[in-house]
Amino acid sequence: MGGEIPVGVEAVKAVALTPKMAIEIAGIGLLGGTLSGFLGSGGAFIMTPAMMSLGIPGIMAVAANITHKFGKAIQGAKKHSEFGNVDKKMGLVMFLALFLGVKLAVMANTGIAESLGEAGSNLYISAFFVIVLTGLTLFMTKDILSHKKGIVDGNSGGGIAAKIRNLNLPPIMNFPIAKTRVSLWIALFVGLATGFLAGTIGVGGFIGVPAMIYLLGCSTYVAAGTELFLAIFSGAQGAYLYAMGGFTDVRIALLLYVGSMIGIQLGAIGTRIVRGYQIKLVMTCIIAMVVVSRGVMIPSYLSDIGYISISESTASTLSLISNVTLFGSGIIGVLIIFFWMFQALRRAGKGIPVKEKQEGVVSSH
Amino acid sequence: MIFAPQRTNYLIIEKWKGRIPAMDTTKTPESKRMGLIKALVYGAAAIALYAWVFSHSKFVMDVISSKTIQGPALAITLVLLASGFYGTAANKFFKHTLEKKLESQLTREE
Repeated sequence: MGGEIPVGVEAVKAVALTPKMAIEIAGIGLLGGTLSGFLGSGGAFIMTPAMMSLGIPGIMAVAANITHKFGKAIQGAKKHSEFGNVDKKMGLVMFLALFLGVKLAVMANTGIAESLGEAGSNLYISAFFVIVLTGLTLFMTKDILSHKKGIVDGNSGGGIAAKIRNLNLPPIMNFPIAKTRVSLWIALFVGLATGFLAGTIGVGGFIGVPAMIYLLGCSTYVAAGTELFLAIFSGAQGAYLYAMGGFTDVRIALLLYVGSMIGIQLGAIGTRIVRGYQIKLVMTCIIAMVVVSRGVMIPSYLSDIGYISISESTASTLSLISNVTLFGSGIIGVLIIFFWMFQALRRAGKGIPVKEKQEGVVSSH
Repeated sequence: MIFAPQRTNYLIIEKWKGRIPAMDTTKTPESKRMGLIKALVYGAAAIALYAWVFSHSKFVMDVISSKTIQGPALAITLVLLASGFYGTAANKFFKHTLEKKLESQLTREE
């Protein structure tokens, strides 16, 4: 990082914020904040590329996003805590292992980048991304379908996930908020694996939230809240490191808050009026679309390292499809959340009780 | 003489024993009016902070890009203040408006 500092300083001075750009950044914040509040994660994957598309240099977009994430996670975790959705004990246990996992992933990524070059590294990350998240999408889709069919046994995930969760390796830890008892080793393993995957593909929450649900036995709400609690630590560390390197434009972080502080409240309130499987549904839709977004870029990376040959127009078409799918995933996710909230508001206005509402929601899917 | 004040206190406690109601440990819910006033105050503080940062952006950016400990210290302080003021304002506002309206729709089923 040391060698990149002068570039960062020049870039910080180069960004000229116009009123139009400020409004667009606030809009990006609203999108990311709503997803974070509802899912516990899901801001960074869309906010960083969206800021880059506004002309903000990549490293500054990452720095602004992670700096902004620190305060956003504090407010999000506070809100979820009001609803009883944050298991701090679980968050702290996971954080220790997660930190190590991220370090290992960074070492692996650096090694691959040094031996295969930038194109090889891009290919490795995209392939890893597609394989892991495709598996996760299929797994979560199966779980959601079983909910739709009415197979709800409180042991969601089943199979290997249930076997891992039920391993009786002492010491067994009791997590009172999450209402689960699980071996400390399993919690540490989940944290380590989550950290490694997050460090490799850069989207921690997409792995962390499902891991807490299926492997640690948390409810979807607690997983979302606890993930935000975990994000406080990674946000603080990132904010410090990027600011120390001179990459942070704090004005961008503050403009992101204009939208995200509203979004995170709306998202967190949204979790109160939906069932757990609906949160999983939104997350699965977004993950699936992000997988497509990364998957279509693989031919371009293969072409970059000389494995295949594709024309320039094909490469630009693939890039366009990738961007549309990426931004579309976030926009669709937020629209679904707002739609459910609007429906709930309408029902509340008509005085329809929650039970009737739930039947309506289930039948509508 | 030394023990006299203690004795007096003891007598006062004895006198009031049973008359003082047990301390209420449950939090009194915030009224809508108070919540919205707090939202307004925090919102005003956030606006003042934003106005300061954007009117002194050269100074702020110079400190942050100095690559000394003052950089992260200022960035983190600003981020914490902004998210604290603005986030609390948004929280108070939605708690007394949207959340209240959605109270009949709450669920916690998987």
